[in-house]
Amino acid sequence: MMLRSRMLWVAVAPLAALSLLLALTSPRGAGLPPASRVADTAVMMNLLAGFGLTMAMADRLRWHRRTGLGDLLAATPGSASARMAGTLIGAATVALAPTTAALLAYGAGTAVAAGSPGPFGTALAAVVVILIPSGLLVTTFTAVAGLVLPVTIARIGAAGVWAWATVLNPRVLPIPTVSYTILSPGGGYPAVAWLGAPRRAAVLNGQEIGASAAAVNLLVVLACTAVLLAVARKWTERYR
Amino acid sequence: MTLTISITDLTKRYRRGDARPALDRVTLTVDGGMTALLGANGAGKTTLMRICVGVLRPDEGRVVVGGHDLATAAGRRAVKRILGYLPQELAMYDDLTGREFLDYIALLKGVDDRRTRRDQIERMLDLTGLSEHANRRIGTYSGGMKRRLGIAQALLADPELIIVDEPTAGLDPAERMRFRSLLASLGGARRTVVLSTHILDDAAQTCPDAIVLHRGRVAYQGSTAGLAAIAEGRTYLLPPGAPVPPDAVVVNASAEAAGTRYRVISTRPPAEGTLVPPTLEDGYAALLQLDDPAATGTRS
Repeated sequence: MMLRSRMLWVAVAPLAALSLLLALTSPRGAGLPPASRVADTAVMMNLLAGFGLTMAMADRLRWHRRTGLGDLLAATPGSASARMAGTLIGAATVALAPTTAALLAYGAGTAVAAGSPGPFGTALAAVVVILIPSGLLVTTFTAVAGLVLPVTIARIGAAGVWAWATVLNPRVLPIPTVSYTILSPGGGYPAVAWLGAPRRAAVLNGQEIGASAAAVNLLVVLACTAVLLAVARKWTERYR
Repeated sequence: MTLTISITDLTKRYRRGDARPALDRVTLTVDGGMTALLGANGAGKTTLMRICVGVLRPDEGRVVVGGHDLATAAGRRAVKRILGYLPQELAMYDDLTGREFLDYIALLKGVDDRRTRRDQIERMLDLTGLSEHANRRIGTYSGGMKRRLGIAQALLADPELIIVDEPTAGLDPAERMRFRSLLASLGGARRTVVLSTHILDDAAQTCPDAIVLHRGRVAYQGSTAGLAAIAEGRTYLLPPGAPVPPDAVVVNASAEAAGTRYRVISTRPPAEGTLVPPTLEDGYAALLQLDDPAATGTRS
């Protein structure tokens, strides 16, 4: 069903293409080792993919608000949580495919140019520790927003929250934010600690980021996803 | 052996302090074969069905379906494994094709084997006359086609218990007749089918048994013939243009050249009029309008 979503083709896929274009043309990674360049690029692609997902996912659970479908699904033997998780994971898998393909293509190209498989391995690892966890969080957050708000407002709101949580620079706009902190879902912490991205991908003050900080960051992202999933389930039950 | 639905003292209020509960101490038993669930809008039919399929919890009372107590999670799961359900308010994913939707529901019903699933889907599409539209998106279906698709999904996985809420609403006469025969063929010895409907003709044609709910209570449980018999000796066909007696209930009126001809139920024989054998509609009208079901209590 996600494949037939208009937003997949007008937002997600173009943003994935744009992220690949930026990766190929931006001077941002010049001078970095190839694997670090791929890790840094993964963070940038993740940010753009997040905006795509906020556009594509706001209507994913809207159907569950409709009594007829809610009852129909609830009258099947599977668990409601598993069904909802399946709905969101399936949609996220499809929506993340363009960015995943772009990142893997960039990793493969960099690996060929470097004459080493390392950059491709970094790209693969980045899919697992950056794209998938962040993608699931944005998907669930946006889908929940779409349950409680009109779809368009949910899209705008979720995009705003994503920007606030990942790219808002408090030195430029001095408002409280989780971006550039251990709570940010932008993927910077795993990229820096585990994949060798430059520190600017995660923090503004150049502090060191250890593997345990990256693990905490990943756990925070996954825990938030689980909480939002529970909220989504409770909310859809209200409509029955 | 067919399964039995046993309902004891079932009460459901949608809001705390509601003066009249949606269901008020409902006690009844539904055995195998086909049973019609009848009643006016707001009588509690949909609430009762939603509780019986395990998607709504009662405030009080107990529902046991085929030995499975719906108060427990295991009981609800067990019932859902043998259930085919068509809700009254039907919504489906408009972006999916009919075939894809059935595939999804079959998966949710636990039909894991791809070939079995495909065979069942083809059979259901064929049964409901949707084969040639199966690859169209549901968003392009007419209301009747959506209803037929709803029926198809309810019949997937060969359910032992079929609960259908207003299944023929929105179907044209030919589709209605086809569905009626289909349902009647399914409600044989092996299954328990509960059919909620406003169309008394559907109930009369297909269901040997009936339950009438009135304001959240059981007004009648018994055979459809017995329900019709409530109007026995009280159903009259008046000649065209004849006035309706003041205490009579009009069941039907037909405009004829000589004037309107009324079919009425009356405890007192009208001055003009012929006593006729009652239909289910006559019995239903007699139960709910002539007699006071609240005063008479459950009849069977």
